[in-house]
Amino acid sequence: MLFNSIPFLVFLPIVFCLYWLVLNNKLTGQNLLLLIASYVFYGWWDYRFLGLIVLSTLVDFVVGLLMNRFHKEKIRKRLLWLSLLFNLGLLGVFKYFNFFIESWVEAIKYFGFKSDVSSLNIILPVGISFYTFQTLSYTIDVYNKKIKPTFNLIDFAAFVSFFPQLVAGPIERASQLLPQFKIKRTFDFTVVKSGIHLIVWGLFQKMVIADSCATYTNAIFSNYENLNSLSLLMGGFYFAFQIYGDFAGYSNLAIGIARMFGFNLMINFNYPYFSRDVAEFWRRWHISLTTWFRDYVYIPLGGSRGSKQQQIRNVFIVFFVSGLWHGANWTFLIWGGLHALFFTPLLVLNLNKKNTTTIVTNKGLPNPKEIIQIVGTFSLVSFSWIFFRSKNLSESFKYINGLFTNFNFKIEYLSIERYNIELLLLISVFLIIEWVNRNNEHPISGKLSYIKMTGIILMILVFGVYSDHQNFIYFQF
Amino acid sequence: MLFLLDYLYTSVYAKSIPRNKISYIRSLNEEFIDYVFLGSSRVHNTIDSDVIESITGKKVINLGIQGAKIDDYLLMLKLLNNQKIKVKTVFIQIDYVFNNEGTSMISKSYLMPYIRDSLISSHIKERDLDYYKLKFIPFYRYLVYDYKLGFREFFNSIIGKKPKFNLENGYNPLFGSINTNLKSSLPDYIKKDNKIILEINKFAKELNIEVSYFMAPFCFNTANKDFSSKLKEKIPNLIDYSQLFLEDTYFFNCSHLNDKGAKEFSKRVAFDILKKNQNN
Repeated sequence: MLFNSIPFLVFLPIVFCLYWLVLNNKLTGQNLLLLIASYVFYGWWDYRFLGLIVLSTLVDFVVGLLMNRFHKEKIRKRLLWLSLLFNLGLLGVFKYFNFFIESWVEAIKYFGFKSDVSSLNIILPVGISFYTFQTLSYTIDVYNKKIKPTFNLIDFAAFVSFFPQLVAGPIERASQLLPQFKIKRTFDFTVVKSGIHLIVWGLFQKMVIADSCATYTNAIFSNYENLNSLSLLMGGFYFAFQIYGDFAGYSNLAIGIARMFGFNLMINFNYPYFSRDVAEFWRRWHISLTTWFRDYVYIPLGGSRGSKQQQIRNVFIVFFVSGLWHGANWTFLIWGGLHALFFTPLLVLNLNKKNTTTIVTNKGLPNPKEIIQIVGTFSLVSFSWIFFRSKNLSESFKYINGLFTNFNFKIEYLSIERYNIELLLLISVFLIIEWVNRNNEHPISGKLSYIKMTGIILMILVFGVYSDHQNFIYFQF
Repeated sequence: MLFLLDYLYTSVYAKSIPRNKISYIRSLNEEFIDYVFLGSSRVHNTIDSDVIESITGKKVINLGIQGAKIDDYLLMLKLLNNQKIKVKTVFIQIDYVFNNEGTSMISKSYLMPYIRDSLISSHIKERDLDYYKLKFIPFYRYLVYDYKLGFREFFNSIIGKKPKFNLENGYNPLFGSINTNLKSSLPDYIKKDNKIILEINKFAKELNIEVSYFMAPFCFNTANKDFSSKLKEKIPNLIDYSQLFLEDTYFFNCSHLNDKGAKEFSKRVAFDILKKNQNN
């Protein structure tokens, strides 16, 4: 079920009314309703994969209980390994099996051997990378004794499958989300209203920005061999805003919907395209995943301790794993590797923690140096998106080759019957709205929120994409 | 908000200059046109009316619409009749569209501003399950068909921007060629019949319009070329131009001629019309 679909428009008010009108003040009832609603929400897409979520939930619930029961380190460690193997095994089978098999076959073919091993026709269950990481955070935190295990299966199952963030995050930590299932939630109109504001803003990001950009991006990437440098440049530029609008939009929808039910989810995007360097970009982009990797991969590897070489090694490992997390394709690995390359000079020069505050808090506009930093960072990030968007490495390199060798910067009419630069005005308006609100959670908050919300709804109606709307990109991960 | 937007968009589309072939037909009144060409992009980008007019000395219009299907051709004929436009001969481009009786999204988009017009209303009602939603939910039709009727089109209509091609002629040329070694494929099967064609024939007969079916050129590397002979069995008077050009230089892609090819093809069609007129 998509957030921007008719079934969800029916589903959400029903669950909301049952939750606050029928089951108000009944904590177990509300949690059970959320669990059932979450399974319906997921099963609407493909009920066959519900079993995987249930299995993952049961394994980690039992592992948590056993870790609490047994105090011997050896047993606890074995239990942790069981959880890791099970969850990563699920990912391995459903997400990476074909990638490794195909890469193996290609590799041995390169050395002149033949292989009879063939790939399988495996469907990737939607959201598997998100919920497995969420449950993993639970068992790792229980093992590290950062949190106590839960004894309530309904609470735990609702935490794993919580429908607002089930299929594309934010990836919540058990220490942050699980306790919220245990405390009584009271209806607060102000909180619900702020949730609705986030939903409206998320819809704007998705339907107006991301889907408009998608129309152009798809036209450019599907015909890149015949387009000039300007079109290819615009293709990368539009994809940068497509993926941002798509994923930030989804995250805001998820946070807003959770807030309507009295839950607080972590902010996932914090105006990332105003970052002054790549390190700052990663503190503002997909924050829930970045902090997950920081806490569960980077720090256990040694983090910023040890020599510079070890730190650089850790950075490369984290970015390669992050790339692989996004998808089983070499393009994602190269994307991750590029970000590690961009990050390394900052680490070597100890500049990776230089820009930790919001840019230009006191004045309206950045100075020339800051503008150069922002544009430079955005250009590097957009360049890496070319690999992320391409079907394979060959396409990425051909696209980049066309971009830098064609040198034709004429305005071009695309196959979609639109000029390649037509969306610039809309994106400029979006950037201005974001810039003005960079210190706020979202642009609808603050004074005159009703007027702002009416304006945004009007823009969704007038500029939104309805006939050619796209699935959320991160559903495939 | 929705009522207001619906009113605004409908008013603008009703009062602006025609920007597509449906609104252009609706702007015409009590005219006589000798030759009307109907079809998909394989007419829209292929028949240069000016070339045919200059050779035959007759009034010609290209009413091909990108993505149009046979049912859309029937609607075009009905619209022409509704505007009291007399037509001598209608040339209908037919190929793999024979296997399809549906209507195209693009043609339907162009109809939406006029959904309260009785002819268009009944046409949509018979074919679209969403008819009542489209007609009675304010602004819904403009959301569903936003790609062709959204803000971009609304804005261009307000400022009176002319379309990229001349509607009086109706020909929209394609230039160059998208790549070399063009390839395409025709279907390997043909439907038993097409009820819409029977309807077109019946409707044209009632109005005393001659109907001539033709198949526009495909590139040399087209698979299942025998589809044209299968089609000829269904439509005996079909004029088969499918293998008129053997060189790829005449093509933009395998199923669309470029401007050079379109001009050559239009000449050939014009001379065939003259020949036929002389024989009659």
